[in-house]
Amino acid sequence: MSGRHPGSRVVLPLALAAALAAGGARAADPPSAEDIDAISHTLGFIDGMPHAGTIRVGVVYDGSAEGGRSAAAGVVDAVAAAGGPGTTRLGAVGIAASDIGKQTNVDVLLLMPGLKAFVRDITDAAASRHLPTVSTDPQCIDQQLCVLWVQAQPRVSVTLNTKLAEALSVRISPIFAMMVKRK
Amino acid sequence: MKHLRIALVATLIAAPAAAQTLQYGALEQLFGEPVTASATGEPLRASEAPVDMEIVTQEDIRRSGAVDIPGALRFVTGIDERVYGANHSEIGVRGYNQPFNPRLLVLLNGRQVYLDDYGEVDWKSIPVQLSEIRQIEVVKGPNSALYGFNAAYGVINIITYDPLEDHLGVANLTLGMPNEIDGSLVKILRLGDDAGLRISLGGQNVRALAGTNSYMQGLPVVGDRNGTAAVSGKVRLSPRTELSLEVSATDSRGAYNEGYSYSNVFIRTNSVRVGLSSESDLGLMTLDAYRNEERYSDLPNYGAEHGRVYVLQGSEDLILDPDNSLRVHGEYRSDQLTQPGGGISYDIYAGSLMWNWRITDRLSFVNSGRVDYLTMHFDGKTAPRSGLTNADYANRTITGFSFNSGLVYRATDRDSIRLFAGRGLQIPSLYDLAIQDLFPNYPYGPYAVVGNPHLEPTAVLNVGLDWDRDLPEIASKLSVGVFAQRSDDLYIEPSSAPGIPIPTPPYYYYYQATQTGYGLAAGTEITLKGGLKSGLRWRASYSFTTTPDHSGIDYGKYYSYVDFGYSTPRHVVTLGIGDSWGPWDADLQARWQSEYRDFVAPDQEHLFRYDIGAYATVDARVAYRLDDTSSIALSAQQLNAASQRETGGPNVQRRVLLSLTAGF
Repeated sequence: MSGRHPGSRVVLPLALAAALAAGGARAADPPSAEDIDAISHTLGFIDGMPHAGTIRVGVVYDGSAEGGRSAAAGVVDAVAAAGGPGTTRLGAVGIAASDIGKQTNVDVLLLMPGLKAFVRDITDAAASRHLPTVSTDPQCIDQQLCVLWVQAQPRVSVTLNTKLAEALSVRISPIFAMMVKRK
Repeated sequence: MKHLRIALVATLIAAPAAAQTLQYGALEQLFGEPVTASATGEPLRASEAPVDMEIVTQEDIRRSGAVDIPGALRFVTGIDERVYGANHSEIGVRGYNQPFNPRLLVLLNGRQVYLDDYGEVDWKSIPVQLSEIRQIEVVKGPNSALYGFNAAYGVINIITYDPLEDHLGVANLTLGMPNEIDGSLVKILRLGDDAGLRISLGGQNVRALAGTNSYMQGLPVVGDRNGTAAVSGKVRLSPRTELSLEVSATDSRGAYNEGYSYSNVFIRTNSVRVGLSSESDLGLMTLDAYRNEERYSDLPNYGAEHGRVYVLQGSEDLILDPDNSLRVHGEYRSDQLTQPGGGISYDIYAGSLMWNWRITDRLSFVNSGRVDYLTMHFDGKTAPRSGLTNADYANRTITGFSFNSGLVYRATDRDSIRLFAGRGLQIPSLYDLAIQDLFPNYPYGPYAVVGNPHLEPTAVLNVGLDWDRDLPEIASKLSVGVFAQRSDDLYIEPSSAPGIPIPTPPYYYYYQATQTGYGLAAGTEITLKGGLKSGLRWRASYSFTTTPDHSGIDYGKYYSYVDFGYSTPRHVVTLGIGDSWGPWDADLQARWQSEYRDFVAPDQEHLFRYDIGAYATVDARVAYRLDDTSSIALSAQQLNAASQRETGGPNVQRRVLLSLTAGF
């Protein structure tokens, strides 16, 4: 009866719980199921995202941090289980920040918290392939790490880093840009 | 320096392939709340709109069991609905409702369906089916800075599903007692990845409400029926440009309360619309052109009165920097009315500017201003000895300024506060300004209705304060608002004004719209709305509106069919509760309002004030979902009373409706 078929929004709560437990020592929590759902919806407003098939998400983590890999693995599972915007699906792969230059087969980078030490690596990799960077880490905008900061709770909030978007040559829908916070 | 910043943002915000127009569905899914462009022209989350707004969703419409748009609006806080007949309902916002209420601007996807030749809304002539409506956006208070003349008291913008964004296929058949049949068919067809077509057909046949005969003063009742057809297409010309084309036609007939009496009214309308939206280096540009045509008659010849509206408008949305955005809008409008006395028309040239300043992450300040310049034309013959000449009409110009300002403060993650002010203008209709309608053979004596070219627009100044609070403890949202409003230069229609005698032979009277004094309105509106994931849902509201009358009208002398002091119920309470379990849905909604004053015409010579006592209506609906898109529903409107006096017109009857909806 109603409009768009959003696709499945099922996530893996157990995988996320494991991710949350592993990341307990972090300054910021990894993305929750609600965050991933909100991030998924934002992807439809970024130029260059596939409009059909699978959007490939690289989940970037600090491989040297304790529990970093396992936390990312939980998020990878949760992203893969979430639906993409429109009729798309999401696929995810974990990427250690130190190896980000080697990874080429993704459409967007989802940054785990605590990647301040890898700003140059990540932005260089993103700029070379015009990849948008998305994170739920509230520090990521000021650190010039993420184009979009997304928070699902207590209400959905999205902040667009206009300077970084320009630097990465990432294009965002103007209507979407009007509706979010801009830095 | 500013032009550099514009260029910077413009390079950043090029749209993806499918994001030229407002993607209501995708944005609503992201933000978890409806989005709207009806507040400022700029897309906004509903909770951030700097106006007093309530949005009726498709789910609200479906669960209300309503079979028409006024029925779907009945439970909106602050809305005043009057049911004058099966085909004739009136909706008022913030007071002064009346038959053929001129004080509410109604739009369909931004296209005006308000008929400004006569200054009215014929809800049955809106070419839309309930099943294709995504949401109905109700702006309470003036919004002339965006929409210009006639958005003085409120705006209703009906938003449909998008042929490029949405999937939809619905057929509906409704059988009702007493003696009603409704049908509709809506389908969105995808033509490849870059084109879509929405086809919409609907019809309704209703036996005239009981009692109508006595209000028709001897005229035969033609029966109430209507039909609408519309096709709307969109094509993505390039990744950055979309073209839309829309055509529609409607045919409506039935017993209408024309204020001074009931008549059989025949209305046919059609429209053609072309739109273009595209990114430019400066931002988002939209162009919109449409033509509305209306034929209105008391006889089924559709030739008597012929109205046309031509609109050309364009806008540019600019993001100046992260904290400021701007919207520039220009508009040309031509309104034309041909009637037996000749042709009358006016042209309007308008320009507006909207500035949205995000002062902090939690505080934004939106200001809009608009100037409208109207110049009138007259190609007819003035009524003899009225003292008016063609030059009085042809030389008339009106310049109007309107504004809207709103401060939105997100005080906490749960609280938002909106303070807003606006000035709106209600322009007199073409009929009121320039009609020359002669009735030399009227049995009670010859008379004429003569337009008044000296009328000034009614200026409405409104201020308001709203507070919204999320209450997650009870899965609800509380909205509390207060408003105050002053309307200067009120006027009453020709049929309300006293006849002016011509003292020398041949004798006759002429009637003319007349400027009166001012009116005040103030009130409060409280709404609590919530629901659980289990399906349980609820809604409660209370509104209080007082309308002190300073019009200076002597109601004992004038046959005015609006009493500015008493035409609005002071107290309105609504309650709604519903639940879903398995394939079943059940909803119950109740509305109570205090007394108000309407008018009744026992014959064509007299109009009497008629006090309508407090009354309640209870609507109910039970539905069984056959699958995700198909259902059988049994609903009742005014379940609590078989027949009830709600207006100065005939009693409103209970309606019981069996509805079969099939998705395909």
